[in-house]
Amino acid sequence: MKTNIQGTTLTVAGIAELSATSSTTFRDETRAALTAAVTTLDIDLSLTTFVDSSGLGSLIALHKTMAGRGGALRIIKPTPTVVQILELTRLHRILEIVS
Amino acid sequence: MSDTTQQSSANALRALVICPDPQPDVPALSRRLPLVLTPFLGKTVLDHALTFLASEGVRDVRLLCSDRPDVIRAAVGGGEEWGVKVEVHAEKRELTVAEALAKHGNPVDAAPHAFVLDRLPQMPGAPLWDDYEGWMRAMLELLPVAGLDRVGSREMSPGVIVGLRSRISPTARLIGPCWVGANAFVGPKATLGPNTVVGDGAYIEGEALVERSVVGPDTYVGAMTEVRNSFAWGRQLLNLLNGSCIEISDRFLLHDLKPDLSIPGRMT
Repeated sequence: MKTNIQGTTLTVAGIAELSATSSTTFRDETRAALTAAVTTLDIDLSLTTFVDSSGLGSLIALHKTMAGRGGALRIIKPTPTVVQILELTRLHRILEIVS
Repeated sequence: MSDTTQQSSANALRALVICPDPQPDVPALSRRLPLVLTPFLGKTVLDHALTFLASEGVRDVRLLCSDRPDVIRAAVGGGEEWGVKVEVHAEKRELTVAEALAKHGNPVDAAPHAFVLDRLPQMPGAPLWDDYEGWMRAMLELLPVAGLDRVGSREMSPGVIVGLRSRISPTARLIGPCWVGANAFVGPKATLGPNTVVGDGAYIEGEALVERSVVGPDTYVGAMTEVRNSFAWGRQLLNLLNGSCIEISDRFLLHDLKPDLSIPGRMT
């Protein structure tokens, strides 16, 4: 997992999966990388092949974190399988998705 | 794969049915079972074909199969259910119609009705395996008449057919065209349709939404989920528009109610 801050945007990329074993680390490391200046959190899921409910939970937690500080979370270029799980759970109606 | 149907004798009593190999444009449809055993409005595609052939007077059917012939043999038995003698012949690869006639035709008898089961004989203009959308379109084409001959099936409202012993919550919305098989459950405030097929024994939880989709037999669809333009069968979720296919790992979202993989049954 890689993090990069440009201006007010923190981008998290290189995520292979968001599962029960990886989602807590993903959430905690992302939160740790958030600085006071960050208003946009971009989660790049272009390499992600697996997401389960734990992974979705971590995305929701980060979405809540960003909303609480007046910012926004965006899902960047999700793979078709990630889009499927987001749509199945209706999270595509809550999370902003940038294709 | 040939799309040619040959009817050499209008009154042929024999049929050679070539069961196609897995097709490159619809790989997900043959993951669990051979293509001809794909669920199709409460039966399998092969079941629909055999039912039609029997109604046309065919009494002897030879199935030529290269993909999992033992599974197909287990599904059709000797053909007693259709009143037809059915034999399953294992082939090394999918035969063409000409090859099938040369190998299995009997020159003494009238030439048999021979075709590749890439479309239902009752719907020759609707190819099944060209793409996922085609499979869906074929199902929707047959939907208005499918199942009305099944014991206990009823048309609840215009375009909405529900099978025997299915329980539909009074607060669920079923929008036609919509077809629900036997022994299914549709929970409170769930929405099905339009253009939706729910297989036998499926369980749609409350507030789920299923639209322009197929839910396979014995499939659990979790509460508040949304299934659009998809084929959900067991844990498998296939997007019919782009072919993306995933196995859902969370059982509360989507899973098999019969994980031993039963072949879609028939109840006529």
